[in-house]
Amino acid sequence: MYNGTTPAAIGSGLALFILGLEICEPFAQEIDQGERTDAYPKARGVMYIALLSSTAVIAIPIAGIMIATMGLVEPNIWLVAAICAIPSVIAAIAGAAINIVSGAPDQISSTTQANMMPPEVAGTVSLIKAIWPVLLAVVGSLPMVGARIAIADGNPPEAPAVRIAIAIALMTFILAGWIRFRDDIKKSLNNAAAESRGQKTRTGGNS
Amino acid sequence: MSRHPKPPSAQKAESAATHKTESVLPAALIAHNVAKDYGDGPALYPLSLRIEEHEKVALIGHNGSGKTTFLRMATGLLEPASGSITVFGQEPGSMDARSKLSYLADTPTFYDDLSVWEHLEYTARLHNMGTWEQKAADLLGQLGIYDRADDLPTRFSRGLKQKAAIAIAFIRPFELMLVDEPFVGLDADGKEALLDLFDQASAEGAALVVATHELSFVSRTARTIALRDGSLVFDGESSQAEARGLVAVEGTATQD
Repeated sequence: MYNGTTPAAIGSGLALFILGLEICEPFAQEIDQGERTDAYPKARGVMYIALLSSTAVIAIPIAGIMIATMGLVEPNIWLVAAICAIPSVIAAIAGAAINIVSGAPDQISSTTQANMMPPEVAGTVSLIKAIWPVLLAVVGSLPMVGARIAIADGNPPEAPAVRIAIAIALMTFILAGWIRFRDDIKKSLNNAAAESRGQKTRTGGNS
Repeated sequence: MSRHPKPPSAQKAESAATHKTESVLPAALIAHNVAKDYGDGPALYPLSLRIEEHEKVALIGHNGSGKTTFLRMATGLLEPASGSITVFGQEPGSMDARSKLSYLADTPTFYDDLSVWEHLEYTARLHNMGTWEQKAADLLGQLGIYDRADDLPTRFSRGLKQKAAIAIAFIRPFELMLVDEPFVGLDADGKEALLDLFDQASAEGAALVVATHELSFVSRTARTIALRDGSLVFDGESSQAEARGLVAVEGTATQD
């Protein structure tokens, strides 16, 4: 019954990516108002993670709808449905978050950084920036594919779905760390570069 | 609007403790040979000055004299080319400096989907203010935009946007406020309300540095700093600045 449905994972990922962009709007607005964020006595990364966490809470009912839909079609796979739905929603939020962060003006690095790149490199960087958030959202639907293949092979679907879900969770965790400490990492790199050029560096800053 | 507290316009603002905290630090703001160059010539030549706690200072000068550059460097939004600035002994942009410094920029910026009231709530909560509703209502009442509390400030006229930005700048606790051209776009009532808010904040112990062309504010300050083409040309008593005609020259000659 599910033969040939693998491409549906791509459609599902794309749809969830668009949904992720929508529910990440508060995060996007905070990113867009960098100067306003700098007025608050909170690290920018901490605020971003707080906003993304609240977005994840908003996504719970969406995951619930997905679980309910899958459960209605196949009443015996509630557990597998939950294992598949939760990472797909989380990955959608993660993909949307990367898209938003990558598209925002850089508050830390020099604006000339991109201008220093050769056009070929700048174009490739732009392409990667555009594709990889969507790719991550699509990857979030892979537990469904893993479960389907296991069922087709006559194996229990839970184990492969869980394995892929753990990989997605790990990837999301790393991403969250990147968003939290992105400014600090960039600042450290900038300071290291400035020191190597014998220029003055800053120890504090806006992170 | 019934869900918001009513603004008793005559009521005193929240306790002075909001603005005043014990501090052993020597000065609110110290600039030491701070300079800035945007690449097309110096925007600010090496400038050294010291703003004491509780001081109210007018920063005057022609357009392009370096006022905004200086204020943005003091907030940590702009990095000096050389020299240093400290805010209560801390580096501008650091958490400690941010918690004590309120900055009212010359161009108000708002979140697209938040109403004025939500902006005030968001700002107050991020500064860990336990009770903020009455203060918010008082501010909006004082500025004459209480009835617009639930509207989106992004859709406001220039003057109303400025009033909303003023309310947001004043809702949070601060010990030093840096203000850039706050009177632009305000009507007479708005100007008067802002002057009262400055007086109130000053009376509660906050230090104020206001870049302005508004003579009525300069006359209310004890100290005036004048910049011209990126250089300090005067730093002294406001009465002396007025007597020397500096206020008229640096202030009104370039009014928008």
